[in-house]
This record gives sequence, structure tokens and C-alpha cells, in this order.
Amino acid sequence: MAGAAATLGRLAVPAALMLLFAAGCTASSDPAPSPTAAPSQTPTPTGSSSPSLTPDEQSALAAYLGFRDVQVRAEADPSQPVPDLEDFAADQALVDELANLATLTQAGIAMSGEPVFDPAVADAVNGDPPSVTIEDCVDVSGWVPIYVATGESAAAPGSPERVLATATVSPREGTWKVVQIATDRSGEC
Amino acid sequence: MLRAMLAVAGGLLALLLVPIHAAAGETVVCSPTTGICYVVVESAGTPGSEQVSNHSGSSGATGGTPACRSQLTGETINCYSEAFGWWSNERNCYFRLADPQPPSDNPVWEGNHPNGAIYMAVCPLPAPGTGGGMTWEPTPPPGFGGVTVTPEQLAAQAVEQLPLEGPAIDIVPEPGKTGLVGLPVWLWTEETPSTWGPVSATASIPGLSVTATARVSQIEWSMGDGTVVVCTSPGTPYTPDRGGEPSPDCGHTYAAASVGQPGEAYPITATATWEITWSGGGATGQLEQTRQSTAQARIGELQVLVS
Repeated sequence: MAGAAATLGRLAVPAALMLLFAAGCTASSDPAPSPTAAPSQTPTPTGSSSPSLTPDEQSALAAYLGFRDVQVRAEADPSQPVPDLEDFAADQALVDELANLATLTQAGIAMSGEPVFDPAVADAVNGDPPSVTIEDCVDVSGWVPIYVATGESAAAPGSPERVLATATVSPREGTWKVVQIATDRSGEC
Repeated sequence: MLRAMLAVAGGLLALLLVPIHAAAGETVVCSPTTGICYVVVESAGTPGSEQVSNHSGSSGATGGTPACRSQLTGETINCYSEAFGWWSNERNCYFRLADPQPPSDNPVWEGNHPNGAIYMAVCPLPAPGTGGGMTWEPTPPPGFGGVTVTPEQLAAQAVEQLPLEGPAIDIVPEPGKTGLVGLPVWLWTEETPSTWGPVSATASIPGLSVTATARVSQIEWSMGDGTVVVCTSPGTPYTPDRGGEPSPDCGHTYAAASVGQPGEAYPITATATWEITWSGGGATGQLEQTRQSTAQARIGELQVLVS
């Protein structure tokens, strides 16, 4: 009984988040993400031990959250080296993130605040190598680019509060890594 | 397959990364991995800064270090970034040697291995094509600071920094005491990083770092009586409870007294062979060095009185 209650508890959190997001999508003037949403942005046993996920899917999800964790840290101070980025990203995703960090560095821009992630496995292909597709409606409303020199916002006009990210995660040299990320800025997620 | 994936990714990115020109002197760039867009402000007087850029690019004789300039903002930037590598004005990208270098059969070599080298290029957005990636370069890209120093040269520096010494000779009979013909002599060295290893040293310049590691493979003990004892271990320290036993791994027994030798003692020379391996900048190498220490063994003959 206790186990069932715990499972329900785990399920309840994403459901609550979805409600929160849904509310945010319709009412554009919602406040910053509530503290209860914060735990979902870092890899937690709760997120990766869901009984419905295969080991590959769990590894992929952990790699995705690990990548996002490093990314948030790196983009807060983009000129600093981030050797552990390569622990979680490879191929085009690694190139894209490094290019973005270099751009932020040269532009004197850093990311302030934190996004809220809520990834879910959308697809899994049992190929060689295997590949898992993860979809994440990222709440970026609390994560804003600022000019380091002035602290003013550098956000482009009309920035959406949510971005749908589709990540491809696949093993590289034995470790699951994010290899590609595409984003949809239409805000419809 | 990788190339196909990159091509697909490039196609998607091309849609995303097309710069949107906002107000004059401003460029909107969107992160490909977060979708967040930000406004990059160009420095005031862009035409002027471009002239400076051309000037430094063509003559390079503006005195001292070449000016590195961001095409994105027109501003002067550091020519070396710890995060991204060496900036190339000409290529509009940072370059860093891939470490380790990919294996020779990796398609990124484009069949050119072992000529040239593989670099990781990081190009600010919005970049032409992709934002960089692994690329084969026949020669170091313009502006690449590692051009004057090869990993081999840096390895020599690292090796010089290694604190390699000869064996710290311990011997029984101890110096000042006299051993006996027919009694085992124990040979060993104190086991420290500088007498047995392993010991490491690193030499680095921005963008290239080489680490050398050394350990002793053997010690040749030249005993002074014509015998050479080769030990692949540091030897076993003698303890009094061993009595007259021979050393289990490194020792010698003299057959004659040291009378008549210089100083009435056998001169002992211990030569340690240091095996050194180094790696860095995608290259590896091995070399060998020796270090010597000396000691003496006074050996006497037991006088037996026969009545």
C-alpha cells in the first residue's frame, strides 16, 4: 500500500507541473515558477527510477538532465571552461552549445536565473547504437539573457515563455549523451 | 552516418540560426539548444572597427601581438580563451587541438592521417554552415598559438621537470661496517617518487599540455668485483631477524675480500633505468633515462685460528 502511495505521489508531481504549465500557456502573466517545480530540473532518483522506463530510457533521461544542468551552470558564466559538458553532450549538440557559449562570451551576455525542465521520453529506437528521443516543454520565463556590464535584459523582443525542445540521446563510447537538440519557439506546449 | 546526421542537423539549424537584423548595430541570435534569443550589440562605429580588423589582418605589423577581433561585435577580444582555444580572425572561429586525436580510420581525417591534425572549431553564432565541430586542418589555422611548439618539444620540457634521481642506496653491510666473504649482501633503494617512481610532471602552454610519467624499470648494481646484479624491484630492506639469509630479490655474495681495492672497499655503482612515457596534444611518446648512485662495501675474511 505504501508503495502504491509513493507511486501515486511521483505521478502527482508531473501532473501538478502540467497544470501549472497549462495555466501558464493561457495566462501569459503568470509569476515565476513556484518552488515546488524546481526539483524537476536536476537529475533525481524520482525522475529516473520510474518503473515504466527501460534502462536505456533512464540513461537517456539522466544524460539529458545532466546536460541541462551543466548548460545552466555554464551559461551563467559562459567564458569559463566546462570540461564536463563533454560528459553529457556530443556531436551536433556539443558543437551547438559551445558555439552558443562562445557567442554569449563575445557578446558580453550571460544567462540569469534558471529554467524549469520537465522532460519525457517520446520515442526509443533499438538500433545500433540505440537512440532515445526526449521532449521537454522548457519553461524559460525565469531564465533570461542579461548584458553582464549593465545587468539589463538582452532578451530579444517577443521571446516565448516556453520552448519545446526535442533532444536525441544516444550512447557515444559507452556513455549516453545528448547528440542533437532542436527547438520550437512557437510557445505551444 | 555521422556526416548525414550533421547534414540534417545543419539543415534544421540553418532555419534557426538565420540572424534577424533588428535595429542598426544589433543582431538577434537564437541558441540552438534552448531556443532563447538575445540581442547582440555591435560596438559603435562598426565601419571603423572593420578597418582596424583588415589592417591587422593584412600587415600584422601593428606592433606586438596581433589584434583579435570579434566579427560579431567588432570589439577586441582575447586571442586565447581557456574555454574555446585560439581565436582566428580569418576563420571567425576558435580552434583547439582535439585531445586525444581521433583514430586514423575516423572519417574526420578525410583520409589524410597522419598529415595535419584534427581541431575542435567553435564558431560564434550565427555561423556560416554549422557552429564548428571537429575539422581536419593541414596546418594550424591562422592565429593558432600552438604553432611554434610541438607536443614533442613540450614533452622535453616536462621530462626536464621530472625529479629523477639514482637509487637511494641502502646496503647491508652498512657503510663503515665490514661484511664477510660468503655472507649475503642485501641491496635495496628507498622507495620514493624520485628514486623509484611513479612520478609525473606537466608542461603546458595555452592550448597544449603534455604530461610525462616516469618509473624505474630496473637497477643495475655493479658490485666492484666484476659482478653486475640486475634487479627489477627496489629490493628488500634488511632487518636483523633475517640473520644471514640472502635477500629474496636483490643481493650478492662476495667471494673475495675487498683488501687491495681503492679504500679497501668494493666500489658499488647502482644505475637506475627510468622509463618515461608522455602524452598530450594528441601525441604520445616514450623515452629512457638513467641515473647513477655510488656506495662502497668493505668485505673482510673471517680469520679462523687453527691450532
